[in-house]
Formats: sequence, C-alpha cells, structure tokens
Amino acid sequence: MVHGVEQRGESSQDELAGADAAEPALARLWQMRRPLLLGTSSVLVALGLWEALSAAGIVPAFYVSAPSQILATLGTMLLDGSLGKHAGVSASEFAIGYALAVAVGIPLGMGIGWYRRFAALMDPFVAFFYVTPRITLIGLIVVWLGIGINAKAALVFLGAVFPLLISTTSGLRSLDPALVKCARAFGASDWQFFRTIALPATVPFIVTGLRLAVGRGLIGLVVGELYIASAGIGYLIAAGGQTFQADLVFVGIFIIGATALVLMRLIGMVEEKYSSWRPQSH
Amino acid sequence: MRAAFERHETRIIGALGVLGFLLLWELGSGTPYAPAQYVSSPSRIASATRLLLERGTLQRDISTSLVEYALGVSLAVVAGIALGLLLGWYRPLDELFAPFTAFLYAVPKVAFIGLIVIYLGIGFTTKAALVFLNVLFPVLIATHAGVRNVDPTYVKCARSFGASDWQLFSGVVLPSAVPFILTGLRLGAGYGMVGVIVAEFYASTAGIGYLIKLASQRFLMDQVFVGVGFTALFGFAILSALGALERRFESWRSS
Repeated sequence: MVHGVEQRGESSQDELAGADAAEPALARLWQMRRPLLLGTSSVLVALGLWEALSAAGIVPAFYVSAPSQILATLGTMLLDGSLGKHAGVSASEFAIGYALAVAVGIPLGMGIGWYRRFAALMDPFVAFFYVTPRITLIGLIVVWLGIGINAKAALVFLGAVFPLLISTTSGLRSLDPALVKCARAFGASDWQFFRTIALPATVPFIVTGLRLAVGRGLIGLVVGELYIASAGIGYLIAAGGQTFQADLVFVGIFIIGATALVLMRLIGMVEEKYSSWRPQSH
Repeated sequence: MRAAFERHETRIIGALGVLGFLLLWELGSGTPYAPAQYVSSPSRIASATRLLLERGTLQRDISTSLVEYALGVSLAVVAGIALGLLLGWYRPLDELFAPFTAFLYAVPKVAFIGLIVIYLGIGFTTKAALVFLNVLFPVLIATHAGVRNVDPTYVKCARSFGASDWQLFSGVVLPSAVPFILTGLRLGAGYGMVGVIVAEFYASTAGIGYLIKLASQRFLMDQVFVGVGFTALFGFAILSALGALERRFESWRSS
C-alpha cells in the first residue's frame, strides 16, 4: 500500500470505523497501536531466531553469541563490578569532553555568528575541521596528551564541539529580518537586541547542536577507547574482538547504542519543546 | 582600492589568518615552548611528504584507502537508497524494522569493528565493511525521509489523473527524494571517512589511517601531519563536490 494514499484515506477510514460498531475491538487496537505492535513483535522474533539458530548450531555461537549468553555475560559483569568500572570510566571521559565542547562551542559559535570579521578569520579553520574526520587527530593527541583520560576527553571534545559551533552560528545567521529591522528601528542597543532577539531565536539551533554533538562525541569516545585504553566500553569492544569473545563485544555495542538512543531522545524532546522558538523563514 | 578590499574582505581576512597561522607555526616551531618533534612545522611536513612520496609508501597508502572507501561507499549507496525507498514506501515494513533502524542509526558504527574483525579477520573486506556500515544509515534515513516528505498535493494530482503505482513512484516520489538522498550522501561521505580511518587504525597494514597510527607510535609527528593533511584534502574535495551536486538538485525538493 502506498503511504500517501493511505494517509489521505485515514480520516475517512476512522469515520467508517466509528460508524461500524460491529468492528471487533481487537482490530481497532491493531489499527491504533500497529507501529508499536509490529516493532515489538519483530524484535521478539529476531531475538528468538537468534537464540534458536545459535542453540541449534546452525550459525556458530562462537561468532554470533546468543541473547541468553549476552545477558549472562552482562549479569556476571554487573555483579562483579567490572561493568560499573568500564561504564564509569567512559561516562567520566564523555562528560568532561562534552562539557568542554559546550563551554567552547556555544560562545565561539556566537562570536562567529555575531562578528562578521571574526567569522572571516575563523572560517578556513572551521572548514578544515569540518572536512577532516577529527579522529585522525588521535595520532597527535596521543603524543601531546598521552593515553590517559585527557586524551579521550579531548577526542570527545573534538567530535562534539563542531556540531555545536556550527549550529549556534547558523542560528544567529538566520534571525528573522523583520524582527531585526523592527528592533533597530526602535533603537534597541546591541545588548538588548542580543538578549531579547538573537539569543532566544538561537536556542532551538543550540539544542539541535547538543543532540548532534552526542553522536559525534560518542564516536570520539569509542575510537579513543579502541585505540588507547585499558578500561571503558570501547576497550571492552576492542578486547572482546581481539580475543574472539563475541558476547563481550555485543554487551559493549548494546551499552553504547542504548546510551546514544536515550541521550538523543531526551535532547530530542527538549528540541521539540523549543522548536516554536525557531524564527519563521520568509 | 578600498572598494576592492571591501568586496573581497572575507577572503582577504581568511587568507591572512591562515598565512599568519602557518607563519607562526613555522617560526614558533623549534623554540623551547614548542619543540619541533612535538608540533612539527609546515616545512618539516613538506619534506616528510617528499620523503614518503620518494619511498612510494604514500602512494600505496592513499590508493589503499581510496579503494576501500570507494567500495564501501558504493555498496552502501546502492543498499541505502534501495532500503530507504522500500521502508519509505511500505509503511508496515517500516514499522516492522523501525526498532532496528533506530538502534543502528544511533549507535556509533565504529563500535562494530570488534564484531567485524571476528567475522572478516583483518584485511580489505573488514575496512570496506566498516565504511559500508558508516555510510549505509545516513543514506537510508535520508532516502526514507525523502519518500515521506513528498508533497501530498502532487500525489493527489498524479492519482486523480490515474497514475499507476509505478508512475507515481518514478515520476513523483523518486525525483522529489533526490535532494534528500544527496544530503544523506554528503553526511555519509563524512562518516565513511571516519570508518576507513578507524578500521585502518585497528586492523591494517596499509592506508592513511595506518600511516597515522604507525607514525604516531614512532613519534614521527611530521608524518602524522602528512596523514592528517591528506585526509583533509580528500575530505575537502569530496564534500565540496557533493555539496555542489546537492545545490544543483535543490530545486527538485517538492515541499
């Protein structure tokens, strides 16, 4: 079925459903909750299939592990405290790098968006970092900062700072021209203008930047820990891969993935809340 | 004179900034505050580039990375567009796969290197596979969004003139998804570079990522900068080309 057609048909279908009281409640539930039901059942089927194929030996458990085995590994690691240790290391590296990125990226982005000449000066450097995967700088960071927590926080920082900077800048550059003109005509000072027009209009862009920065920062974290670490979730993945412990690798991937999903969804909710602050384009 | 300066002010300031930075780097390097073996310098990087070119290893590293990248990207573009069109067009199929695409889109794909190494060992396919994973999801999600964002008026109009499913798809949906696909491609191209470099860090004996890793372990900063510099040049070339393509097709956006 073609979605466009389906979408347009929806209202009349609903009316029909309401009129037809004989329609079974089960079918109505299916109509209303279809995305959730389909999604949940496909996950359950996939997990069941994975478990069964692995248990039957059709695909070697050595390669694919199995949900039960991954859960068991997760449980063991939770109980002996090793997972807590790895997660704690990763979380503190991420938190430091991300906080620094926020502290640097937002003010710098505002400076670039506000002062035209400063933007002209910074543009080539920002462009350089924009086109270069920041993880290549790991070769320099290791020499400059060693292989401790600083190096990994630096990689998180480098990953997270540019989405923040660029979003903030584009927020300041897409102010509603009518509001700008109006404020100027009524003699608003630079500070008044910044506080009441520029800053609020930039908030939704900054929140988008915060969300993008989570993804980029996590890449920096994982790569840093793959490359130089003796603890952390990325290290878990690297060590699991090198010692052929697929269950360990899966535990690492699920933890990183769940963290990414939860953080991005949370910031996404904030984003929706502030999206009405976005200047309307004319 | 003054008018000329004002017209090109942005470019002049930018160029002066870069020149000033390079000059400061060159002159500052080797002073007690910035030992040359830590910070390198533009001239040292130039001579390291010459050295690596004469040895022939730079050519080998560049071509290795390029082939891995090209293979991974092309496979991902084909698969990403196909899957994106399918999931965008058939809503129940999309709902069925939504938990998987959401998870795989959110998780940093570099985390899969641990699994890929177990499955594929350490070689050419491993690196192409990590590039593939990195590029697939931005392309898939963008294509999906492109199909979903078709202007409903066009669909209605095509339907009322009796367009078949195939005509609707090829005449309306596909063209208006093109700008979205190109945006996904540009994002994917960047993530693909991350994939190739990380895979070469982790499991490789050649490539730009390998060059950077090896040079860094041997404390040869000049060569690390050569690797970073070539990555930047390549990134600049491919992202500008894709950005130009994206602007060219921007008018195809239907809504």
